[in-house]
Amino acid sequence: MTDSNTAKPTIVAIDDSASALSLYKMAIADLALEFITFESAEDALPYLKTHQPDLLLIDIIMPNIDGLTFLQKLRDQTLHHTTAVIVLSTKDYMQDKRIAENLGALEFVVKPVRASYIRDLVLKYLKSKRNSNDTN
Amino acid sequence: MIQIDNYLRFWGVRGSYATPYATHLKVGGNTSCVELCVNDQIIICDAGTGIIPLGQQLMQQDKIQELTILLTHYHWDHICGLPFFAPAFSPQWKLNFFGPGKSQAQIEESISDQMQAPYFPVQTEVWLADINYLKHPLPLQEGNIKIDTFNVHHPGSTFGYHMTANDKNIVYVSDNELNFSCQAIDKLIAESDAEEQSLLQQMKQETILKSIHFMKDIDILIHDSQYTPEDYRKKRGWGHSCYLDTVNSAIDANVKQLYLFHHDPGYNDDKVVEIHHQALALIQQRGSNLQCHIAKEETKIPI
Repeated sequence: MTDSNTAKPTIVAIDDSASALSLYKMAIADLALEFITFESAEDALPYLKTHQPDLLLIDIIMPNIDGLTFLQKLRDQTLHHTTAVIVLSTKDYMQDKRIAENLGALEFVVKPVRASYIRDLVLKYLKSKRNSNDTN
Repeated sequence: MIQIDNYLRFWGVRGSYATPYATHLKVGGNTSCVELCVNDQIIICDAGTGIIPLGQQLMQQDKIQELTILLTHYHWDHICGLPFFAPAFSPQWKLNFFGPGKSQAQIEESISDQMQAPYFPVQTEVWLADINYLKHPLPLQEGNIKIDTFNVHHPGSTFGYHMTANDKNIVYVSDNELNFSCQAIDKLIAESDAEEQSLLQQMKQETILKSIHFMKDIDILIHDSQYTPEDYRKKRGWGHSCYLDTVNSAIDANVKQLYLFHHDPGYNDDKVVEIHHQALALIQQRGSNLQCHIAKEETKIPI
């Protein structure tokens, strides 16, 4: 679902790393997107209670609730049963990848990555979502 | 003998699995368990095999009948003592549990699943103690002890704990892989253009600062130091630290006392002592005042 106020696809990124958020911003700067960032899961919660972004990028190690626990809580909400999520973390561990997969994450990306990788990833999933919407 | 009322005591210091071998027992063979006792309030960090002798000792007294168990995560070596923890089977006791999880029910499930058939003969239903699963989020105040959590670099959701008691700041991080991503950032910097390089440099600085943030100016740090540099090269990505990274981080963070913890089960007493000597040499070389100790079973530190 595209945010009705903007009519542009909405990407939400939750990451406590200011440089990671800047990198994502740089990666998609030339795309027609609404890009919303939060530095913690708690900060994102009020927004996500009423909005389903087209793509949610989420880090794991953050203050308070970690990204995987937050994703579990999010999946309990009807609005986010099918929200498109990509997990990006330095935690290059099979256990984390398996948890993310079981929670329906589209991909698990091991940070750090180049801006061009983020851009391609965002384009890939937005295109896939558009095609799916067109088919429906 | 002087009676210490307020103390920190190591009941289990070994990582991964218990090592009841004569060659390992000066350091200790039980897996993670640390007791903090302040003004008759007991906090237990992790429930590895070290919690079994602690439970037996607690059953010898009746002054204290309530305690809180903080679990860093649910890997076997951190919970495998619970099915044999005597106070859980006594109706006189009240036990409060806390650990990672989205809800109290999930904490309960993570603890009780290890006792399900066919892995164990009795389930947690036979526990007679008053069992409580504490609600997120912390901070939590247990008597005079303030407890807070933070997330660390280890497979699955894993907590470190920051406890404040008698004006002392104590941090317990049993499992944490320090400095995991700096090499990867360096590699990416070499491939990037100027604008991206600048962001990646910032990211590296941010990563270094964040990796020591939780231990900044701490009085007592108990931290994973499982591997030698040689073994870390083979086991990078297993979720544990090389002791050199632990010592360097503690120096950078101005830690007062560091306890090297979660010793590799493959390391006998001599090997752990050798690691300690190397750690002391590094501290001297860096001109630091850090006091570095081996976490040994039965060591009791006044608080």
